[in-house]
Amino acid sequence: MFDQFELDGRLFGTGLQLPVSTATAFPLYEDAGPMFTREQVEEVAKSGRQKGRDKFDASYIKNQRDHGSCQGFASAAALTRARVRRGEDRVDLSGAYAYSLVNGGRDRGSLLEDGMVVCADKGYATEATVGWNQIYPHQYDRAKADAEAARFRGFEVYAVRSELGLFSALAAGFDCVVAVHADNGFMRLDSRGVAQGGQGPGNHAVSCDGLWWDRELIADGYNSWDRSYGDQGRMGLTWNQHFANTNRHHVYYAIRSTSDDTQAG
Amino acid sequence: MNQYVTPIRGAVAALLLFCAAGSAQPPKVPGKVLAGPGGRAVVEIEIPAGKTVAWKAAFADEDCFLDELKPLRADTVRLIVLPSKAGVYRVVLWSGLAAGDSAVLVIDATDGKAPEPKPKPDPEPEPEPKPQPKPDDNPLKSAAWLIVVEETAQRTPETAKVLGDLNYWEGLETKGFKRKFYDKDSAEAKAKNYPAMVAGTDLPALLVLDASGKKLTAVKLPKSTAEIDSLLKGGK
Repeated sequence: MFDQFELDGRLFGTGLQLPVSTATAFPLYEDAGPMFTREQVEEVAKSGRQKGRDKFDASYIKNQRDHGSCQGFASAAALTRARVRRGEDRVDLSGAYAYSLVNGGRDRGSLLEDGMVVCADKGYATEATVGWNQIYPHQYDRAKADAEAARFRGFEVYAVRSELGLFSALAAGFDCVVAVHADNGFMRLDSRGVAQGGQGPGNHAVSCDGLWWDRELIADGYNSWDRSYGDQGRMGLTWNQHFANTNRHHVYYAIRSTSDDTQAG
Repeated sequence: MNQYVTPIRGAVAALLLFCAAGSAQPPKVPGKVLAGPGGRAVVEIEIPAGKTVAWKAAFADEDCFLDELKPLRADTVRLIVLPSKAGVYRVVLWSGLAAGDSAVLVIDATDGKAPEPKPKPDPEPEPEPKPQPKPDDNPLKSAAWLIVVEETAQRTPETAKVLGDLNYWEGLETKGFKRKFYDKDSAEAKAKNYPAMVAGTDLPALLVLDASGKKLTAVKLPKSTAEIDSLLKGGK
């Protein structure tokens, strides 16, 4: 079972399973690059020009509700943004579809790695075709959804293992899917907008679409718990507060490029 | 006959008398404007800083209707052109009395079929005996696609700044430009021949295509979005 949290009288799920190992099928971002120096990353962060929240407004924030579909929602949201970054029309991709293909027919969470394999190999159907509650394939038009998914794939997905790798990817303008540990403290943001808590191995998948600087590097993260969470659905995440814990157990992922929509004009 | 409407008054011939040496500040006109018979075009002319611009058309309203629209920006004159007969029409614009303060806007309403007619005799003399050579046609006026081809693995913070300015790129889309970023090694880029189209250009490259996919130019990606704007306006 996965953890659930109550916020404003509503229940929100997590759903990130702990992998047996940190082995990954993806090439390492740290090997592929672009890798920046620490100074370059800090310069980008301090410039304030790579904040994801300035590029993707609150309409991009999704709501997984009480399912354990965080991995699906995190990776679908990251792919949605990555497509927009490179000039594709905005198409909101389905976190439930992404989750439905890897949950084994039970709502008990999933592994980040499995979800990213689907992202790169199969793609994601649209939210219009597979709604938030359709977390099993028999609940939606499978043929239609699969055909749609082939149009929306991550073309270049990399595994990220280090602090500099993660922040280089964010500084370069790539979307990343990461693991955090949601606990009661995680429900609160400090004065900088950084989520608190997070002291655990990682039970929740979220995404980051930028970074900023406030005494340290802060990843611009967003959750899938609607806009009532954090700052309009968003939160800052720091290495020491969050990633240093979960990085020992999980691999993160960066989407460097996406495929073209073959049906676009 | 169309009339000039902006503040400079007086006989056009007076310009001849007062052509004096000085720093030339002609109105910045676009390259040849294409508007076939029955069609229309709206032309925006940039006014040199601190100047006003007057204009005069040397053709009849029944051949080509021309009027001034309310400008969208303070430093521009906006003209609407509605040719009713095939032909090439010229509008003289000037911002002062010095030599080189004038420019000629050319409206091509031949639809690419009719030979360019000789200019109709103007009932009034030209503002200058020899109009300032018109600026080169902007080869990018038909730009529709902006394709960036990059070696993603070598993206620099400077490139990230330009490519990551999503508000800028989405603003271009509202102006009719579509855009797409590709890694040079992507199968999709290769299928569209983009790497070959930017061969010889340093990466990241900005490839400008017209609506049919014809290459208009390929340059190294400018270091700022302002430079991209300048490029699209015909600058370098």
